[in-house]
Amino acid sequence: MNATPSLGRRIARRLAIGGATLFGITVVVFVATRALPDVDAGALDPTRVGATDEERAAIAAARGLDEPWLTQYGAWIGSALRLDFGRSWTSERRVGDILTDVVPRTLQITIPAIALCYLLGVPLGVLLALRRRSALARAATVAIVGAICVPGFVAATLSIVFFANPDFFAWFPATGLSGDDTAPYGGLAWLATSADGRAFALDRLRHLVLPVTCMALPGVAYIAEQTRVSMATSLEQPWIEAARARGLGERRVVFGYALRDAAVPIVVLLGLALPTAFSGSVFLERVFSIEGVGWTFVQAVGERDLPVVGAIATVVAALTLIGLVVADLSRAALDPRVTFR
Amino acid sequence: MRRTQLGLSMTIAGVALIAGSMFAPEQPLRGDTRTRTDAVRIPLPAPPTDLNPHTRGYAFEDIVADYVFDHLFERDADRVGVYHPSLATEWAWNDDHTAMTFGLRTDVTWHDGEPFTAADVAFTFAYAMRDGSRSPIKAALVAAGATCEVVGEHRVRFAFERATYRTFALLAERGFAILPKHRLVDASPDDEVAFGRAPIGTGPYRVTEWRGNRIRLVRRDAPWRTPPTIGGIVFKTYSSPEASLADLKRGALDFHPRLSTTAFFDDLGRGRVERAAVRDDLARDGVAHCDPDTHGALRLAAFTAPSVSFVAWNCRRGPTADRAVRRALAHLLDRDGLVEASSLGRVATSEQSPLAPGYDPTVQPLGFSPDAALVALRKAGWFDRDRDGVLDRSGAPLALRIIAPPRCRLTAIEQLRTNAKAIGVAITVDRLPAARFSAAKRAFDFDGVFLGLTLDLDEDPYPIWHSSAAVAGPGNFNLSGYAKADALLESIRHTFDDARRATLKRELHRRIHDDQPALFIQAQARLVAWRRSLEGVVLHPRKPFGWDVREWHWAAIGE
Repeated sequence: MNATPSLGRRIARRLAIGGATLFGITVVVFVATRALPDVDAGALDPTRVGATDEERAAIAAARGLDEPWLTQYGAWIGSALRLDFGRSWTSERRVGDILTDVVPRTLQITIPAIALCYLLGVPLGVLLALRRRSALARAATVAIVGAICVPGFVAATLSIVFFANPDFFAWFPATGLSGDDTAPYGGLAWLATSADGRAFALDRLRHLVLPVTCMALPGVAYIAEQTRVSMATSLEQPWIEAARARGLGERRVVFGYALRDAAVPIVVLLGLALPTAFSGSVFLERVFSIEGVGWTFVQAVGERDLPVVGAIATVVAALTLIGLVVADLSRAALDPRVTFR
Repeated sequence: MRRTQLGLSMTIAGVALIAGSMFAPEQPLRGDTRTRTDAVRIPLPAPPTDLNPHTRGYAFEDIVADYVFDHLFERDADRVGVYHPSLATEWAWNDDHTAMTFGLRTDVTWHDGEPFTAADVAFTFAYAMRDGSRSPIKAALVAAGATCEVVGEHRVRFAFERATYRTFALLAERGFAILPKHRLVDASPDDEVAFGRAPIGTGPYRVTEWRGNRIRLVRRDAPWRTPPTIGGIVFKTYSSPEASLADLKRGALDFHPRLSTTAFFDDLGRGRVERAAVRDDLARDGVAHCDPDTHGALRLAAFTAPSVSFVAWNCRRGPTADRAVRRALAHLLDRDGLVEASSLGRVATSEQSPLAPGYDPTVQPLGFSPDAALVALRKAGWFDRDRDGVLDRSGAPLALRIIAPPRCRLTAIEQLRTNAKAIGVAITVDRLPAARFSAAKRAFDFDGVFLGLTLDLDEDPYPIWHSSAAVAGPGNFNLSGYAKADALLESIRHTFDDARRATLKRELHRRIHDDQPALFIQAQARLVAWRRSLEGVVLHPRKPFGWDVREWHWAAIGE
């Protein structure tokens, strides 16, 4: 008899594979950061510009850069496993503290953006699939391809020029996550119960409109296109005709049968959405001057601040792997034909 | 399906309506919209690493730190060599200029209320000199052979093995910001990091918040000084010029210290600011105030910054070791054309700003004349003997390599390259990554190196031109390797009389101009804008940043 592994074993197996992959990724990240040009002690560190050769040698020794790569990797991975990524070479701050500061800022953009992708993309895709022969659907498809093709930083710059500029429409703030006069965040209860809390929430929403929209734009288009293709395929399946022949209402046929079948590839995409959004934040945060993961990563690469570069790359890689595992499991949950071997 | 379509349309319309009501358009900047705060908002070009002036990464971070920390003395905004008391009230050299004593104020407290004493000054000195120190002042203190001792609760004495006229300025102001001993003396690395993000100083403003891209300073009222009028400063980091310009126009910024010429003339100036008038005002006064009614509530102005761009020629080897070649190259740059076309800078003939007392205004640049350059080169034996389009002498072509740092504008160098090519001089321009640029400079691996230098108006020219500073390694400040003015340079650095020193510096200027170890291009212009409701904004071309929030005040609301 062909026994199907239990859900627990499936998850354990997927996590084991993910762990091995993550290990491989850490090796690649480590080698890639060490192979960056000009990674000698403080070569591009603005705080070490005037250092003498002797001082640079001392810095290199203190950072372990004079050790063989294998030893350096061992020390780094050992600390990383304890979630200790060391200190920034530039600011001397603990990398963990930096991540604690910047990750929530990026999440405030990425999570609403992902939600927007699905809330707008799926209904739009369904509509286009149902109206696939209409002129509107064809025009919308062209617009979708256009939206996918526009680079995020172009959309971001244009959005500032047009929607944060009194020469056109000064509707939204151009930068940052909060206004200059907004009180600092005071907790969830504070948000709901005080006038300052409500002002804070409204102010935060206004600041999020442009970055979230710019991040979501290509995602909405991509999800809509995926949904359209998937739905169009589902709607042509024989069981849809059979359901209609049995006298089921059109709404039930579309949402209860066709969309459920079409949802599998779309749900799988959700698993990759967060790491993709993190990657998209690299340019977006710089344009909107939001000190999140993307901004910090670019700054750290420029200054060869390897502890920060390594930590961010590893965290994003881990998120990607977790996303893949979640996607695999979701697919299995939605589609009983999928099994794990 | 119609119902689905209708539902979707209604949902979108509803969301749009709600959004429309929530996000009512901000008031564009046509009048004074300031109602909730009197803090002034100023952009920073990049995120600061640290607000401790002795561990900070970039010089621009001093824009913030200057309001948080005090120095022993404060330089006069407009007069070179004039200082006003700050933390110190008096100072005196000993007879042979080997020791300097400062008398300190007795009524100063730190932002946390602790008293300021001479121990803080001595601690700051030790902090800057410690092993592994990143303080920008350390190299100069080491070079001067400085030591420090406390000689009373409010009295401190510095001794020097090699004092120069710059030694007072070194300790009195920029660079030697005084740190609180009680906060840093036993600080752990984490404490130091925390101090860098929320420092304690004695300055007129204290840091209350550093969150995201924003650093907030609030005025600190202290009985021992007249407090500034502006109640606070918010520094905001921008990495996109479009975003900072949009925020300036919509009223989310009050002062912009560095606009591009396009933003200044075309966007904010609406094409109504006359470039020629700005250029003439800059040449005459160093400051140009433009028609204030160009963009609603904004005022525009330009000033000449104490920052000169130049190409230092390698005088130690290759074709540029020949003075005739260097002088010929000087004929190939149309500086007036550059200023006219885009930059608004001021033609310079020295590494010193044209505003410096040691700058000789009678020295005029060698005129733009490719013909004169060709004649001079032929006189020096350079001809195109092999007819390959490049001049040669003794079989070697006149081919030069100019290195440049990343992220700099190469308009002048490209013009030089084009003009040189027309007469048979091949110039290649290598824009190098920062570390390689630095390494190439140290090793004299270039024929020319393109640099911008911001110097104090009474800077010591010794490290720039003395032969002892032309050494391969990190101390290589004399990039041209020039070695024909050593005696004059030594006289300058040991002349403590201001007028006599200015005379010597002008002599050096003439000598440098004659030998052309460097091709000086221009003193750069800074373009700024601020809200009309912000009054008292005075631009000081002689100060490093050129402006000072402490002088500003808001117009009364309703004006």
